[in-house]
Amino acid sequence: MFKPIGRSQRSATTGYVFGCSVPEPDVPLFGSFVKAPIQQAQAMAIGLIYNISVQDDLFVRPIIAAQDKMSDEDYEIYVADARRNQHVPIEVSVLTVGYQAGERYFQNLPPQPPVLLDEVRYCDEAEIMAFTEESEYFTLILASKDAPADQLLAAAIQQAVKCRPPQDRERFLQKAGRELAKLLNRDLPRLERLLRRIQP
Amino acid sequence: MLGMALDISKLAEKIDALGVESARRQIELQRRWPDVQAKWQEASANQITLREQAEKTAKRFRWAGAIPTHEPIASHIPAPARVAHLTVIGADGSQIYPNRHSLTLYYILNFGALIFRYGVENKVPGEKTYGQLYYEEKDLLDDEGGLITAEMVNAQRSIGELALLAELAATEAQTTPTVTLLDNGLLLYLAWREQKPKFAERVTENYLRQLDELRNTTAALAGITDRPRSANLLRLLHLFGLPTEPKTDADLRLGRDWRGLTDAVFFADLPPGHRSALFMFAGPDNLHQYQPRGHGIYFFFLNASHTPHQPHLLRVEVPEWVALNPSLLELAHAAIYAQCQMLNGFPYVLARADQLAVVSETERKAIEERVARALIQNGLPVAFSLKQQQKTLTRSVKGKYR
Repeated sequence: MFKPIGRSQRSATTGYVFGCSVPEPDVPLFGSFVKAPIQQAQAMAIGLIYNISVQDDLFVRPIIAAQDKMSDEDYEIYVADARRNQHVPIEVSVLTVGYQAGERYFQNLPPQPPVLLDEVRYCDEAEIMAFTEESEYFTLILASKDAPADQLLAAAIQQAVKCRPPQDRERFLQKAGRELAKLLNRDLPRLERLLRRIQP
Repeated sequence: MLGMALDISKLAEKIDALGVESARRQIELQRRWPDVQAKWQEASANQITLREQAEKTAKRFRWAGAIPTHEPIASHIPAPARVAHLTVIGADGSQIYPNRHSLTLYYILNFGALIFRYGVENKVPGEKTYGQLYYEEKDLLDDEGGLITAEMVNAQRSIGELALLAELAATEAQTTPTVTLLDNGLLLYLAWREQKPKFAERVTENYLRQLDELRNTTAALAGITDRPRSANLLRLLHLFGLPTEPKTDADLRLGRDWRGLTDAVFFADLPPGHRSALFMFAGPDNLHQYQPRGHGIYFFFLNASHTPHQPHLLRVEVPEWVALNPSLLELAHAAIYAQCQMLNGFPYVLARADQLAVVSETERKAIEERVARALIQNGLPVAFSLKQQQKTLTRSVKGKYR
């Protein structure tokens, strides 16, 4: 299991925000599948990261202002500290797209959202594969008012493709394409854009 | 009752009055500066007498004054050039105090340090953090069986900060000149010494042992106080102005005219990067406990600002193995001033060490949750004291309806 990447700060049935503080290379990625415990850890809410907001901290402004005050060599030490060490405060928004209870995955909204300070983790490849075998979660993404739906859906499908063995990717993409065509048959320009985005 | 909340409008009037009063007091204090500064100049022309008076007084009384050293007391000493290869380490600690209204008794010390290396290829500064949980009887109770107090926890934290610096300096100083910094004075403040003499003795001994360790590393050590409120030099000047030798403690007390003033009055014209002369702190703990072990505490003032006409005064304390070693003292002076460049007046490593050490409210809550889980797993009832429950309830209700 992956280590926690943050803890939930605010939550609702349709999604939640978690906070994390990590060095630059570990900043979470848009479109990643994440999970958080619900119902006293009896189940896991599964969601997609759709917004990452990097806050500034006490040191960022002085470092920006100090560039001309010291030698480049000294200045680089402060920048290296800020970028590599300092745990940048980050707020990450997640759209809930389903949940897992026991061995089963459900592609609709969970009965409860995560509560405050629950640990949030990345889903591993096996979990992503299992969850994305069905495509009903597409509707939750496309109906979202907060998330950039098309880009998020494309990112989710691409991630699901990467988790599969190469020989299975074509089949998976065709299935996803067919599902999209069903959902967006009244909006052909949008469908076309989405299909272009998920192409390998 | 919800109507019992803080009456901001009434308080606002008081805050306005506070502003007026602060400005009035500031003008009033500054009015006295020329007189005090003139006396300081007069004293500086009589340094030998001044030093003899101070040494004699420190032997006879419990006197929180200062003893001049070999440096002329009115000196302004510029920052030496910083050596190209230099390591500066800042350490800080924070704590969760034991709370008898909590789920169970424990306390936590958390430490952070930043290792900032000038002139090396790998530019990323090193970080070190570690926390300690204390929950056994030997940790929680003092020698008389009483619950350890917040002040006693603070003393343990000071020992931990020094130990962390000693551990890190042991490696760094082997290859590079190293300066270690603490965000505080170097003398342990044990106001409870007389109530808990055994505990105080043990704490002081542990602290001195960590100073031994740090000295052995060959690194320099300095304790930094931002916005110093000390009046050790004013007491020295008061002593100089006495018409006869002091006979009682009362003779050594600062008169009404000087109340509210601080030692900053002497260093208003210290140019950026310059430090004052060195002085030895004349307090009895320093003379009777620290000095005999070779750790007598000295201090100087530094204008840490890198901007002319915007002085930022720091009080810097150093142990005698730094104070009386000119190359270590120069190394520390240059390192502190260089470290103050980024935040224009305060060492960067200390600001970062504080950030690493601090226990946030979210972390406190997470710890409390885990403690509750650990108690439940062992079949223990989980309950805050009624007082704590009441506080939580009233505060949450107040927050909700405000």
